[in-house]
Amino acid sequence: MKRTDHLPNHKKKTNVLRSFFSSLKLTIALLVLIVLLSVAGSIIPQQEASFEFIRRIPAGWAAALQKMQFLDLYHSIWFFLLLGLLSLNLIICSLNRFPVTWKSFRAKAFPDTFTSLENVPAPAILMTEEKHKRGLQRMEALLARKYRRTEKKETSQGTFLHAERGRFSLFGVYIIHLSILIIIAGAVVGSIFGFNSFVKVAEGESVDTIHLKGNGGEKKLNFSIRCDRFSVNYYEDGLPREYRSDLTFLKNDSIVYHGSLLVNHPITFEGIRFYQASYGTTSGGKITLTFRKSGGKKQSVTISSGDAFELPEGRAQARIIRVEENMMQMGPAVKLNIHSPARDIQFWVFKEIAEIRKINPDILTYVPLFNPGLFKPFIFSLDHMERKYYTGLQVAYDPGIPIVATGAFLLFAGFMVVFFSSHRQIWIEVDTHGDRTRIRLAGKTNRDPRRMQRELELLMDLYKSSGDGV
Amino acid sequence: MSDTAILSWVTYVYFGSFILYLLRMITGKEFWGGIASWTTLAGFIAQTIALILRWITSYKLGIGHAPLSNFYESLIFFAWAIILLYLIVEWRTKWRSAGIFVAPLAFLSMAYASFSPNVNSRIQPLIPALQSNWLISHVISCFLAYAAFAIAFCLGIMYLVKRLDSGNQESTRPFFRFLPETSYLDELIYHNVVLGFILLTLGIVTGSIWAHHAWGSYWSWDPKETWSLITWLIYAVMLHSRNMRGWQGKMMAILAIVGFAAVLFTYLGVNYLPGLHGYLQS
Repeated sequence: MKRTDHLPNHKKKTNVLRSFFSSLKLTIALLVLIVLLSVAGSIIPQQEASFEFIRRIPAGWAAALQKMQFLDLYHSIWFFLLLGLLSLNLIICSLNRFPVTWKSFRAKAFPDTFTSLENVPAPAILMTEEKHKRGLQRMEALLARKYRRTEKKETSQGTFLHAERGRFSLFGVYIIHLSILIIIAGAVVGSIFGFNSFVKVAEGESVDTIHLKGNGGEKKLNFSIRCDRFSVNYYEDGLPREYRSDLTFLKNDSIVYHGSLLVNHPITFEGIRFYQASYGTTSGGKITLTFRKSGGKKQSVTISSGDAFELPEGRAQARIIRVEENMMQMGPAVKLNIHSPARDIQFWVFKEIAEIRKINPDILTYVPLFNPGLFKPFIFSLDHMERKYYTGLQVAYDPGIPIVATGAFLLFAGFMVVFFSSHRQIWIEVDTHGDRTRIRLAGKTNRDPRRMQRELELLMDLYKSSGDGV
Repeated sequence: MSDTAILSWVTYVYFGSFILYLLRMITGKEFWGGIASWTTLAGFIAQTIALILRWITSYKLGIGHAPLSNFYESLIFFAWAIILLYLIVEWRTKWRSAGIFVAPLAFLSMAYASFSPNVNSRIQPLIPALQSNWLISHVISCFLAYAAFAIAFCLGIMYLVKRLDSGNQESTRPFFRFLPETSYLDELIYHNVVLGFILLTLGIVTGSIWAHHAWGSYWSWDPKETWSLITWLIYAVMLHSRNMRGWQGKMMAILAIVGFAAVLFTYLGVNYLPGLHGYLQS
């Protein structure tokens, strides 16, 4: 007894589960939840952007948000759960419905029980003076011309013809669901096996290690990237026109590839894609300074930021302690620290000091720090400051892309099938009615009744207009 | 006349169409409807000419590109797409009553572009991120989608308004009499939503391919991406509930309105959220 009780119960349980996972209500609930999560994700600052945000809210709130994974929602357990459930829902839904679709796909034009047009929607009737045989012949010829698949059946009731179009459209919905699953799978593959990172490379330097985004960590590449040159140029009105990095890819110190990287034109090397993401200047460029004793002759040095040089007579040492591209909107300047036995003194040396003094004659009185002759008896000038850029590269590897692209392509194929095609079947009965021949047409469609109607009308018109010629 | 001058005149023309469509609905005289349709068509032709002029001008300035690259140009193109789809619907269905709902939308978009001090109407060169062949296909498919959803939104409102009057068998007020039967409205809402849905999908896919080339990832949860997905999901729910459950009528009309709210947020609202699609900030 127990056993027999147990079996149906178990079966019932799986049925409940199955109908839960295959219900449209679940689909809609999941889609609504994904919408709500996405809304939250677009409002609450995520990932890097959240660092600033959590500093502005009470610590308790911040901890709670962090614990609930609300600061990286698109990689949170909630999001993966929703995607997982949606995938399960799609799969079970499709599996559940598929046998029915398969049955209609395999269905015969004339089932064994077929005897009349009784079971198809209201037929349209055409009467003609022609002989039964001739009418049938003409109709058959017309169908053969318009349709690829036609069939004929003789019964005791009369002669029946069948023609159809778009049987494949029954599968449209499955193509769409499959494509969504493929896209989700591609995204998962990308997030597991791919990486995304950002790296800065200064002109003339090379890197072979990148810092991964998200969980952090470093990744050593089996090649290195050298930035030979970075340039930016502008339109007349000051908007940027082009960012360009000349990159060299090296393997075991030998050059493998050399090319220019531009925005919208990434470089792919060994499957890893490099993008022009940002740029900036570094203080690593060479600086040429000139100094002279009042009345003495000029001397010049070319050094880097942070370096020091001896002043004549060996009594003092000068060091560049800061470099500014554009100091207080007055052009390039360096800050010197002069170390002498008596004291340390610091001041700025502007490249355009002559110009600055012309515009603002009293500036050295107000701001002695801007006086290049502050360390007497020397007067310094900044002759040349080499601008040195770094380029910011986005580095990405995503093996899921071909999968996602396949999914997107299939999605459109599915749309075409679902929205622009339909399964349309026509049954035609030709029989003798008194001394005339009666032709009855009936159509059936899985979605587009209006198009079905037009098709029937067209068929009748063609039949009438083809007249005696056929 | 410069393209911007023509476009600000077109703004008034669309306002005029609205008044004429309204006159038709109030007086019940088809005479006004005819004038309204021709006025709208004239505005549309003038706008098309202005867009072509603007395109040519950009080449003369040496920064040639399609007029689809900043907030001003997007608002103008939005209005253009709405009127284009509306004229097609009017021509195919012979209904003019949607004009009183559609014309104000196009007018508002044009007026915001032409008269808001925050919207820069100058032809600007393309910054590096926008220098891509995907610009045209991405922007056109997105805005045609927005326009189809805008038309569905107008039809949704018409549906609800028509229902208010559903008790009256023979409505005496021409306003209600001119509104098409709810079943036709329902059908047309569905058609516009399908069109918009396919175009939005195309817009998202072209955008993803572009992002793959420009930003290093086909999807980065930038607010505009996220909101376009939200919009897509809302319309996906709408299509499923209709095709699978046969929901029709009022529910569809309400979803068409909700969906369009999401469209507007995707277009305008996300500019207030931080993200990568900053080109539209005026």
